[in-house]
Amino acid sequence: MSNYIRLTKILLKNGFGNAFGKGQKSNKKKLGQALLYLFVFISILPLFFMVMGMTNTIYDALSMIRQEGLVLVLGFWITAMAIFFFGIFYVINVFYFSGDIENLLPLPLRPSQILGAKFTVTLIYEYITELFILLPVLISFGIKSSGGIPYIIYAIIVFITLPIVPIVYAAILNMIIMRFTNIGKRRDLFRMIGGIIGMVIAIGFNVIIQRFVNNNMSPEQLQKMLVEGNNSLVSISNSIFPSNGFAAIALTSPGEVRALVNFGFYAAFTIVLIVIFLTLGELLYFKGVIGVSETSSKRRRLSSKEYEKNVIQTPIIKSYIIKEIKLLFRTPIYFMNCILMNFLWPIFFVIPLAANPSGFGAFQEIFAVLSNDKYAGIILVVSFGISIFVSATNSIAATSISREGQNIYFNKYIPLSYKDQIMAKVLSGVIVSLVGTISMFLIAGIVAKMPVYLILLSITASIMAVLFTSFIGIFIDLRAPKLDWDNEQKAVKQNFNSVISMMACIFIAALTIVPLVVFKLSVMPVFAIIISAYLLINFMLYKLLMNVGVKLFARIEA
Amino acid sequence: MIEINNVSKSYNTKGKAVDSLNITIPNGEIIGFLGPNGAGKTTTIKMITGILSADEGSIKINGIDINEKPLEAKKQFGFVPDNPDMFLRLKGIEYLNFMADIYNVSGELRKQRIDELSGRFEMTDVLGDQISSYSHGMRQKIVIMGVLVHSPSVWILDEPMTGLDPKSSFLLKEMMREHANSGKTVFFSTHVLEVAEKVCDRIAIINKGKILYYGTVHEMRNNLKTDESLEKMFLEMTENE
Repeated sequence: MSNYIRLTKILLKNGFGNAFGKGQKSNKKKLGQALLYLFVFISILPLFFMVMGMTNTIYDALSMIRQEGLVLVLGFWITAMAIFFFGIFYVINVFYFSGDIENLLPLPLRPSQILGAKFTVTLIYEYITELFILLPVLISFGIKSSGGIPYIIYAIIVFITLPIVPIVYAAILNMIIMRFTNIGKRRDLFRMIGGIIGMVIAIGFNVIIQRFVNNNMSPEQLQKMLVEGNNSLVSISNSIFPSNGFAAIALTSPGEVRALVNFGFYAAFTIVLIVIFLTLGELLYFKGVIGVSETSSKRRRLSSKEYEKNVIQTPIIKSYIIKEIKLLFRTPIYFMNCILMNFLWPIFFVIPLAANPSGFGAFQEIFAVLSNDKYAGIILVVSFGISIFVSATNSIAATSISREGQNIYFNKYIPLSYKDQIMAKVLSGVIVSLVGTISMFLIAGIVAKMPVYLILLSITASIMAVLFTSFIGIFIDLRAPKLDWDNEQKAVKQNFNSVISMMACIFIAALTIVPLVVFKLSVMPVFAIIISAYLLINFMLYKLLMNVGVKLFARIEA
Repeated sequence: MIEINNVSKSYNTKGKAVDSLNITIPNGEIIGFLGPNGAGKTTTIKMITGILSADEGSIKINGIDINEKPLEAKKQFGFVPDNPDMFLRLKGIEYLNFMADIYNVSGELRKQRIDELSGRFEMTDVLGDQISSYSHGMRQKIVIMGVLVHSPSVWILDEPMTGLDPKSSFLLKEMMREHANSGKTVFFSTHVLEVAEKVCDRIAIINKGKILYYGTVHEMRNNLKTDESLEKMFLEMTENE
């Protein structure tokens, strides 16, 4: 137990270290950081109040039929699903691909101690996710239901413990996949595939569950339960996270005995799952994680053909771009977070549709819209918006300096100008993002019969979008790159630069997109506005990078 | 040739990591750079290579100022850093080809050089594998090969012998000698005093950011009027500071 606590403390210290750039802390920098925190906090506040407002509205509607507890069920459900989903990523990164594994394995620790510590770290990270979803729900519900002190106590415990069940699910899923893909000589490849399987399962799971929930509730049943009132709907809540239902009941009647009983069930279920997790961990974890960083090697002479193919002169910018992209694809953590995410977003957008029982019907409606000229203007705006979103969230440009880490000195002694290095990094981000967005448009063209001219316009707008996010991203990363990391996870996931750049991109893009939507322009004016506006913006950003950006690069000291 | 004139660098307000350094590394000689941990060796090397900028003073490589014409100056030298863990996800051959691209080595020439170097360093069988699968010594060799593939006139090596097996270490020393004998420059830092004593034409000893001694080991003995080993002289000199 004490080993578990010590390890947890060290992992937390190491991990939270500083999400910002390298720690040369002058007062000016400290102030800058404080302002950044404030900026992030303020820009998140609207979301927080939006969730509170929604909770209030739904609460009022449901309280008329005395089913207000459903708000909590809904809030818990969304939180748990979000955590399960992010959990798949977190767990695979923190439990398996994190660089500290090699230092932990030689220590006299049990698998369950390492797992326990890493689990706790993941749990604490997930509190950040909860802040935006669960906390406003709990606060609004508490105020509305005036549950008093017992409510507050239950609410705090629920906030702290709710992520446990979804993370355990994510962890068990990953442990099984990693155990059975950690085999053979090409284990690096297998593991990459394992990671993809994990995510596919998560997505598939999501779709199936949503369908299941939608299907298994006949309108008559629902009506009957609604009429019964007394929060009876809460108890049927959902079948995958049974503990959530218990917690919801406890919170809807905090002063009563049944609250205590249900809370007991909640606690018992959570504890049983932890025990199952740790027991499985003892069996599976080491077998999955040992050798996780091994690279397959052939140790044989290259044939003269392979040699000829590899040893060719390439213009340096192209060569640099290829190098960047190779590293993104071959480093598991970069692959998961930067490459895979790029192609997963379109799938996320499709889930709600696929989950709908009348799924096919919903698709048909979308298809009809996509192929209808009347909506071409708005579709182009959406294409542009999705391109911004996809390329801003893959963080390739926004972490391109940070990813160099301690090896940043290499960039400083090679005879390649900072301008060229910046552009090579920008272009590698642009290319990967474009492959993502273009394939999305092509699929829309083939499956949904999106007209060819609209695909071409979307692709052109997408180029503007992707250049824009990449310029912004690298500029923000140049300001204060996070170079002081000991595993790649910290360069991409725990890097504040990617968050700031994401928000800046989405904010600026929203300013241009909203008017286009409001004025309902037709397609050619929309196209003309997007292209001319972003040609100008991108040109200014390019100039900024080539002047201020280059100076910032030169100032980075290794 | 490397000319360092009046170069100073401090990381904080207290003391200087390098203090008014003056030293000229001539052509045709191997110069060893010695000093205890934290003496300013790596800081000096980083300033020569453009990784750090000096607070004051100037550094010229083959007559080209690293601050005024950084790209031109950087083309003059090849640098072996003390930590060879770079580009671990690239294959050896990809790394060498990338380095050749950076230094604009023609296709034919690079083929010939990579062929020759991988043969001499016994790396032919691993070029197709990712560098992450290499041992420490193999990583060191691939980084050295990455420098030699563009055949720079000035070699700057930070602790190049670390991790090399005896044969590769011997080979590197031999190559350093050939390079110097052809009228070019070799400047390397080391902790291994035997290597310095045997290989270097001259040594520079630095401590607390200042050059304590610059000359041949032989002259040093004459000056100190002793028959002691370089190790003893080094320890006395750096401790008396």
